[in-house]
Amino acid sequence: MTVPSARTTSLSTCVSGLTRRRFLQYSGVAATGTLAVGCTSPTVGVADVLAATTAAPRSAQDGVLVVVTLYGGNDGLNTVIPAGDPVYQQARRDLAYQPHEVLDLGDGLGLNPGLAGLKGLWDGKNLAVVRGVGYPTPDHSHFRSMAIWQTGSPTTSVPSGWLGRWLDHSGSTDPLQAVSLDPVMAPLMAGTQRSAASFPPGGLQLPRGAAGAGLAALGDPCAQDSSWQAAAAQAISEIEVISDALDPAVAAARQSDSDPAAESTEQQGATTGGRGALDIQLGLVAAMIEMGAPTRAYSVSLGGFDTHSDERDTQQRLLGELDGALTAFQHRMSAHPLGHKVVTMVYSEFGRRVTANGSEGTDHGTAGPMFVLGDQVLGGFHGEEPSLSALQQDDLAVTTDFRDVYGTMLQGVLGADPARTLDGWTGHLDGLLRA
Amino acid sequence: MKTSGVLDDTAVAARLLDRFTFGATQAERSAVVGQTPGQVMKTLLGRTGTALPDGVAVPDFPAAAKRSKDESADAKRQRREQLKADRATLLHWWLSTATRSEHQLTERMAWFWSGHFATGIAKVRSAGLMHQQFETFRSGGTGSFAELARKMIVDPALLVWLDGNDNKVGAANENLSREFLELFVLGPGGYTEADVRAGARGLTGWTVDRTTGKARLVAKRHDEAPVTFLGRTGPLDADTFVTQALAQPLSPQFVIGRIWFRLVSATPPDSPALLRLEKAYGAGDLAALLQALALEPAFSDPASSIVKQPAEWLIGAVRVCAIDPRSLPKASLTAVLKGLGALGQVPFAPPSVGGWPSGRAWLTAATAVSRARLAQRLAAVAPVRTMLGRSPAARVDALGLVLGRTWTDRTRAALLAVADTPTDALALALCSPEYVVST
Repeated sequence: MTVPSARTTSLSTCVSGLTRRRFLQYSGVAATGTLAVGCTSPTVGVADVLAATTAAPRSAQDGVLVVVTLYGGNDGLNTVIPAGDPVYQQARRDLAYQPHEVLDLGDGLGLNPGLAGLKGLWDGKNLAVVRGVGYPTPDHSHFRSMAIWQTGSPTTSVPSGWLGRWLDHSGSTDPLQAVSLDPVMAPLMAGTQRSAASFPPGGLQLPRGAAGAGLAALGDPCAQDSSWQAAAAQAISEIEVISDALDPAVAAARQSDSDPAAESTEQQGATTGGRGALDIQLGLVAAMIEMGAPTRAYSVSLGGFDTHSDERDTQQRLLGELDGALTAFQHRMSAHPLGHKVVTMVYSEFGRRVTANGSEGTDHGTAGPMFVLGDQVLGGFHGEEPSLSALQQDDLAVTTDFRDVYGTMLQGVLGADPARTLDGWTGHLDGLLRA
Repeated sequence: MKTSGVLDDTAVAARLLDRFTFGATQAERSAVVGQTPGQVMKTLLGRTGTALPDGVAVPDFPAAAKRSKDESADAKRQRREQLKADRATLLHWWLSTATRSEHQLTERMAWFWSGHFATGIAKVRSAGLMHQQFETFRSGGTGSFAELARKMIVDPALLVWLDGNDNKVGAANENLSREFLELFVLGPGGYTEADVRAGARGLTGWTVDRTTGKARLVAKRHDEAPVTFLGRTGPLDADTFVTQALAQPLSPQFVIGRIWFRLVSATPPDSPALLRLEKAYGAGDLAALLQALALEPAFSDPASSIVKQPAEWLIGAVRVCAIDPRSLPKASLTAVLKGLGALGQVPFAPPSVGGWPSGRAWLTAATAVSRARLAQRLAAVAPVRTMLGRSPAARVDALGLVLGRTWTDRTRAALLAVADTPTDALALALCSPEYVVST
């Protein structure tokens, strides 16, 4: 590409730090020295951030939280299963698992047969099952319930996600402090001032040559922008930061991926949300952690759990997908020096109705189990199992408030004050994490 | 552009075309110069219709074969291949129709309603049923909301999507009842859990025949017992479900709010505006509502900008580039549809019954890259790239006119830097913050 030199000055009137560097690199005009300073970005320069990232990778002592969202409302009762309970057998009829089918955990509960890998982690004391998790006054709407879980605010609607608020308060300016591998960024990662970097599992590359340099130039802030235009420009400016820092991780994840052609499976449930194979998402998280990325919080997701009909096969297949991805991830973490402080948390917006519906499926319910796993986790049961004989309007009672789990993660993994993020909430679960 | 005060009529007219068509061409914008907002909307409303553009045929989808429980692996694969081909046919049809149709308001509103009654082809597994539903949006999208809702509650694709098909007496499935109230006609807060459960009983018995593509009420599957639904006690059927739900005081403002959010502004209407719009909307008159919307002061407020959804951006770009999707080579077409997938918005496959994301969700680094790739594809085959003038400066000015945008200094500089190559300049212009946002 050639740049008419007579225009060089006007070119630079709105060009800031990074993009100017990039632009010069591509256009070859750096040597002419004719660029005016122009308007510069008030935000921290991307070059600074990159330097900080490589100069200060995450310490092996810093905790990392990986949040796995199961979209659609996973059937908790067919995940951690009271197979020996006659009330369960009667309510679930054709959908029920028999005692000999489940993977016994003790306490009259067993894991879904699709979760053989997690059973191994349970036996190794690295898997915690938190029982009966939910929030007060359950809502059966996917959207409201997921909003409550993702904002961490059960009573009032707030526009920010719980990890987004943590990010707001974290004091870090590193754009990689939190990373969303979801196809569209999960709302839990959006704060009021900052949001997680959104990074598709396939990687992020500027187009080559002049077109790429041109695109980068469109990312410069400009005082003439409306607020949405400014947001669009900012997103463009982030491409380079994110790709420079993370593309090596993508390459590494691809290399270690045994099944690179894995396609996302056909979805059964109407309310999916999470798309893109979970094993690829978690493979990328593993690669980033192993490379010392400064990221402290990751979001990944799997969809398709809205099993109103033909539930058994669909759910078991999805749980199998979850199991394969989580188990492989945890084994990599346990084997790597930077992986010991990584804690993974799995949740869904609600469990399902105790009694099966007429379509070999279940309708929306309330409380469900959460999985928490990692070397820092004290395996075993936490929280009370909701009673099948003391239902509340046909639904399981909530025995553990979800904010207790969040609080424990904020304090124990991220070293943050939970009350600040959770509107004053101070509850937590003793003995979930190793001291 | 950041400006103070209010937009003049010409700017409002251009904005109306941006929102209520799939992005106007230069000629279409010139034609409305000097018109009041009310005149622009009147013209658009006068030009609605379901006739397909020249050269676009009604898509033909083979009727679904009966599936047996012990279907062979071969038959299964064949069915999957067929569905994949049908999906591509449906998307191609939509792309051609939305781009070429003279009835732009019809197509724009059909697209809106397909996001409102968000139905996903992955579960419906029939391009024929999805197309049939979309035709209902095309024919009824600017008519009566009550009529549209009545058709939707027994729409075969929607019944499959929300398990209405499995909802029968003695074993009610609540999915359709709940989502209809929450997301389609009333909104949260307008009903109770008990209403959802009672409503589900009223909707029992509707069954889809996949070979004919029709839904019918099977009497012996329908729950005849009286229920109490939204304050009314008695036997309930699909029609009374809709009548009763739409009679709730919260229904009009919910429907108006959804249209406002996607077509006017992310900031909800204030109460005087809502009063004006409710009056126009009455018992569900969508044309009157659209006419009233055009007169709202919000439309001349510079702050009422919205982020284009990727499919809207694509159709608008295809239109301003003067690309004819009917004559696109298959490879380009495949690339375009793949590009939409990368952007996260394949029509007929919304992420959930809640519909498409909005605003900032479409403005991430990831979408910016996908958009750039797709823009390069489009620019490479865009007839308009050869008509942009000779000098770089003239090309940048011409791009502003073609796309209907006033460039910021930043974008003007970026475009000038690549204007030696018109294809690069066009691709870049399509990715500019000015163009990805509807100002």
